[in-house]
Amino acid sequence: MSKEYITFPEKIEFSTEIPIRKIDLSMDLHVSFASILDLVFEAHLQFFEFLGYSVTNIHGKSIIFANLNIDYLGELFFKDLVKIDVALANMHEKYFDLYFRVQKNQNIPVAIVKIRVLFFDYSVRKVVAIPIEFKNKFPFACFQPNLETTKSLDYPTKTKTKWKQMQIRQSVQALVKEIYEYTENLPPHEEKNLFLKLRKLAVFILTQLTQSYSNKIYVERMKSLLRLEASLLELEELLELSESLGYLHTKIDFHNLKETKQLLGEFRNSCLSVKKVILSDT
Amino acid sequence: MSYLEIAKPNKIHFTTELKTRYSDSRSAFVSSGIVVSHVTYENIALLVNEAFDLFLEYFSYSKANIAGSNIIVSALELSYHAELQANQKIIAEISVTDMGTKSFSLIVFLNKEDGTIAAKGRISLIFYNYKLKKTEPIPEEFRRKFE
Repeated sequence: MSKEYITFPEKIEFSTEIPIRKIDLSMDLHVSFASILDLVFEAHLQFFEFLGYSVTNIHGKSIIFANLNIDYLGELFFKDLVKIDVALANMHEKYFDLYFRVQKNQNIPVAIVKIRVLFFDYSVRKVVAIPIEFKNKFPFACFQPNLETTKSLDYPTKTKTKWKQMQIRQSVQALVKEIYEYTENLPPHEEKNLFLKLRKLAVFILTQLTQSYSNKIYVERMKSLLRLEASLLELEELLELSESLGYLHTKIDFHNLKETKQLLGEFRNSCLSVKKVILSDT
Repeated sequence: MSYLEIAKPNKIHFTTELKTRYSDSRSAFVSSGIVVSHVTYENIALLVNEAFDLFLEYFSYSKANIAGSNIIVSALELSYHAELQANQKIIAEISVTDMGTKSFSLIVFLNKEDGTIAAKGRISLIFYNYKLKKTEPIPEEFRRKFE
């Protein structure tokens, strides 16, 4: 039999029973893949009626569907009694997920459906935030990140070291300070050149580090990381240049630069392994 | 225009339960400004047909094979007596009447749970041979069952 990919939430909000009619059958074989959705839609309408809403008026707002996943697990025939359980999860600011579990005759699985629902204001034709009154009805559906996606799409999730405690952050901050102090001693004719370049680079390194830690999009984090690495190399090059030009009168160690380079490897690994970041601690 | 009222048959051959769906109903703002939502007139025909299918199924027939023959519909009459809502249980009562040589009528009453008649339907049917493209007499087996 087929494998279930969609995880149905634990808490069932509503259940209904729908007898299968003869005309639900496609070519007298079974209920077609498309007609299963008619049954789901039926349960959907009943669910909102049960909540005391109409689907076009939920605290003055309407809902639209953004996407839909179905796992087909069994067939439906004439006179089958279908039971549909409805559940809710992943309540976010502008969307939530509706789950439908379709079963027949003593819990024989038929289908599991997940629909992403957006709140919509038809008067301005725009997606809007979920009304707080609606959210409050489903405290259980909020904060359940592990039900986010179907299993097949799941990335390994782990929490990262807290941003403020990151060693690399501290060393980069120290590096910026160090560069600022150093550039103070540059000759005035370098004010528009090396002075500015070095300071800009130092600040850029810090912003890229922040980006590569906190951006929610994996690819963006990777891009920031690459920019960070390139900028570090550039900084090193410019410091070497200023040394050869004789601006480096006192020997400055720049140990923060070395430390940053050492910590970068570890930081890169943590960026790569964590595809989905939980940002609650930043 | 004259309308021949569908009389309540003496004998009910089959009773079944149906459940209306939201897809059977329609909601609209009517001219007086209120929202009206009920099972539409055309979908009542759908429910009558569903009761018909359940009746055939109960006697191990289907529209494709009814006592070795087939049927065609020559007329469908419906009268409406009460409003039906979505997600409502209804009781369908079916009787075979007016058995002729080739044709018969199926009377379908759709009742609410409290017994109120919501709709009455009459389907006039004729036995038909699709191969010969001709009507044919009622099969004996069928006649014995319902006469």
